[in-house]
Amino acid sequence: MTGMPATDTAVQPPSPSRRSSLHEKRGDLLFAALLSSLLFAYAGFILAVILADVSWLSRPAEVGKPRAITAVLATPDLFDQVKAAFLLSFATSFITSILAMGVAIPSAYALSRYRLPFKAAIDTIIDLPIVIPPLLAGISLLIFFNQSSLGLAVEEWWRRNLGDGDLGIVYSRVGIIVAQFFIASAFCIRAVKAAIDQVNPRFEAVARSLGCGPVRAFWKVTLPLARTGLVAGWIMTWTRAMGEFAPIMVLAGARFDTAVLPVTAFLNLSGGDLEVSVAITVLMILLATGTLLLFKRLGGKGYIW
Amino acid sequence: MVSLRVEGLCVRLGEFDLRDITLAIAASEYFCILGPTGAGKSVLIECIAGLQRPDRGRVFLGDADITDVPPERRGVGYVPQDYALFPNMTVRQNIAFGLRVRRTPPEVIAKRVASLVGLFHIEHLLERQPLHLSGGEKQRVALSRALAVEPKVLLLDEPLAAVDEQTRDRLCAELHDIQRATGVTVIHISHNFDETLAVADRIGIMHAGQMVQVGTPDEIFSAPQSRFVAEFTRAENVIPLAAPPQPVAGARLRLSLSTQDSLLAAVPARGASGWSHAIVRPEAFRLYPQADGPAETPDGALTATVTRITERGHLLHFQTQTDSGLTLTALKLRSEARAAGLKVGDRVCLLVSPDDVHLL
Repeated sequence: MTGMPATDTAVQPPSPSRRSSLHEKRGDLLFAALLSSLLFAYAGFILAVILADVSWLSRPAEVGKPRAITAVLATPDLFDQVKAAFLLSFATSFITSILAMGVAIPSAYALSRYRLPFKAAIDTIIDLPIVIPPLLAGISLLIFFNQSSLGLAVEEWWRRNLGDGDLGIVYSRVGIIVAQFFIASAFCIRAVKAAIDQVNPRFEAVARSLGCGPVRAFWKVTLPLARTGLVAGWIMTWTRAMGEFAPIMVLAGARFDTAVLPVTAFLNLSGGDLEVSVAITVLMILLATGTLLLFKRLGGKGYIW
Repeated sequence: MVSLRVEGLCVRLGEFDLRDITLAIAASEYFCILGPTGAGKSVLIECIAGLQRPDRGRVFLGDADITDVPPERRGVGYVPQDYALFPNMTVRQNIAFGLRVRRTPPEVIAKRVASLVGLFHIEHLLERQPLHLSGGEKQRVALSRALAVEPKVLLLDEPLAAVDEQTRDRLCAELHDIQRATGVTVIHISHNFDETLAVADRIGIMHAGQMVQVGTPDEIFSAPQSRFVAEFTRAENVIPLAAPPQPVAGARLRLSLSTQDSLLAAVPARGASGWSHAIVRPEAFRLYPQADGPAETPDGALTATVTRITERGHLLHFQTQTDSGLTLTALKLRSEARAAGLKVGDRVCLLVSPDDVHLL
């Protein structure tokens, strides 16, 4: 039609020849295969290591002896040792995870929502327990409660008021919880913060405009919306606490009544009793795998290592 | 219903700066805040809602100073851009939320919810989860939820940004009707000029943290007070004057736009001087082929060559250039343009009534 503008002819990119595209495809495939084969190899390595535990446990340690797993299950002394360690681990890490959540929910909320002074510094400080080597965290805790005036005061107060008069935090079961808490809380804050970050602050803004005070808006809107993430974080914290070894060993000692699962595994390993060590190893791998699956199922985010 | 007043409001948020906003909105007024992204519109209504603390300035609701009142006690409803419907509640629970927070008796809640869903025609959505609603449905639910607690002022942050164009026209009409029916004072944020024209009693235009012009849609449309407003409201032809305007007979001014081009403008009622620009909206120009026009080009008409024609639905947008290099744009009905057989390269006349020439 006259008077209508002519449409600009779009410049077509030169169409690649069939041969070069085939060539490129083969190159891409090769590259992808190379990268993923390393990935598969590493995953295979992890599985092989775990399977070695399982297969070792299911055959006799020496010719003419019962299978290792049977040895542990059938020997009351060994079985009780594992059972006691499991119960102690389970109970202490449960308490730790509750305490950590109690600290993590408010802390993570503050980190997520408020413009705080020294926010960057605080953010870095709460990550320190994650990056400090665990053994050194244990040594630091021991120095704090045994050598610093503040730590000694806490230790003294605890022994008088809450301990059994003889023991305070150091070398007691309370020490297990303190050591677990020191490290697990850092993980917990990360996981809870990830859950809270996912809740759009506008939900709270609307709740406020509809008549909720800040506490109520948090309780009725943010918390329910972050629920699955919080549960995921809690379970992961619990498992992390259960797997803690070095700081517990240093702060709570390697005594019969403070020997949690990893400590029991270590004590048996150094005593040459491989059966108990490997049985505990397999038990803890199963627990960790179950937790990890649950965590992913719940859509958990944040640090899990 | 209550009026709302903002006095000397300043907020500094990192790079962003809301500067000295003063605004008075009448009771039951439908007020639109218009501006590009980053102009500070959202920050301003967050200050009114109490979600953002201003560094300086006061906010008054009626005679009461509400600057330090927490959001839950302001009586200001807030509908954010993404509606923020609580995803873990049904539509019914969403609408009833504010009433339940106030411990309203269940039978009163039921009655109130029923009347609101009737008003918005969303009875069939009551038991649905918000996640699966369309943009328009979400918007109606969000409005019902905000109106349920009978706010004195209702703040709408880009309420129509997430709906398609056809729905937008219908929702504009609906918003306007509901505001009239409830009498609530509405502040509606938008970056779309057409949308605000459709609903607003008055429009405030924001740019870079400042309120640059407040007026009725007609005032904004026909008398922009700055280059920014003119361009943002698509006045398009913002032409610098080559020389000071010369008064001529019949209360007219002759505006020389270049050595060869000149226009006639009516003397503005508010007789200022020091004008630097002439503003002509593209639809104000009458464009016709030069040969077809009055035998001699009338006084104040401009002659130009068509350089580009762009489709705009039932209108065609013409870009033209005068012999002295001035670019002018005009709109013409598609049917008229077709009848005249206009095409790129044609010589055309552009004629504008002196009353439609605005001076800046």
